Amino acid sequence: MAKAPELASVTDRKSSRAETGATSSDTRGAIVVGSAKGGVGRQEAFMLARRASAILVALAVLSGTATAKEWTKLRLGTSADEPPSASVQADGTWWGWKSISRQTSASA
Amino acid sequence: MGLEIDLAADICKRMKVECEWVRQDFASLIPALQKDQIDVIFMSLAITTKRQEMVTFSTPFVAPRQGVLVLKTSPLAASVGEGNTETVTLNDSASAQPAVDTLAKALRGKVIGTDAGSPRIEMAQRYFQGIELRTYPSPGDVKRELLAGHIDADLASRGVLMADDSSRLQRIGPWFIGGLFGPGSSVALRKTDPELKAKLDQAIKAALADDTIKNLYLRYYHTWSPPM
Repeated sequence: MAKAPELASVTDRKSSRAETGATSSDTRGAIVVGSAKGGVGRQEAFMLARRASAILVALAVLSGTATAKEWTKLRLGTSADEPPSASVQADGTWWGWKSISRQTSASA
Repeated sequence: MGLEIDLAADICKRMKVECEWVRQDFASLIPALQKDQIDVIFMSLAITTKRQEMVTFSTPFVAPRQGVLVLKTSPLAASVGEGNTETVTLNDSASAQPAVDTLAKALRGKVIGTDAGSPRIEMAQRYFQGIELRTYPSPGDVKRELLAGHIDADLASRGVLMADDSSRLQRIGPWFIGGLFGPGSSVALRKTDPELKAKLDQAIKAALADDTIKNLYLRYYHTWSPPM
């Protein structure tokens, strides 16, 4: 009666470590303890398989994002109302976006 | 022609990308960027903390200057006098205070306009007590209101101040830089496009290094302040 809770306690802790990212040596330890208890080894193997799957998924995602997007075209947003977008003509008057703005308004 | 048109042409060439302009209302630019309707906001947009919550910025290429524009016939023009070439850094409150106080005293009780969504709103609220602040959709709208005599002064960026095509306006007081206007102005991008930011940064740094950006500002504005 006194030993059962102690064993269960060790097994639970090891399993918990395996689930929360324990090292490979910790995981091996957990399998040993699990094997001693019987039936838990399969559970640990399942956990390892699950972790391996998660790693594979993560690698797939990373390899996808690692490929930089090729920028060949850029859409430049502007309010077209800021005078820097306009310019000074030889006679000192400004033109540029203001002229475009007027044309747009006229055609609208 | 035009500062930003020329600058964009240079940067796009360096980046080896084909660029097209997309017009948006000023207040719609950041939402348009977030909705993937545009790829960058190609304006000299001040890098502010508030904007950095929504977008990321390229390497800054100029320190944004701010000033106050009034009608030449306004009593303000007579009382404060024509704008000087002094540049006041808002990073240093103590040294900025005398210039701020002079302008604040003159503007008290006046109607000041500025564009919605710009850090100039915060500047007005922080430094100019006792004014009536009105906001408009774009910097151009503010200037039109000033020319129409509906407001007493326009708190504006250097672009608006330099583009006085009416000869009826003048700047009063000094230029202001730094402080809530951040370390500089640059191009805004989505936070999810780090590779585009890297490419843009590289092009802007090259254009700064060979003085292309400086020369464009000198050509169109006759002044250029490096990012802080």
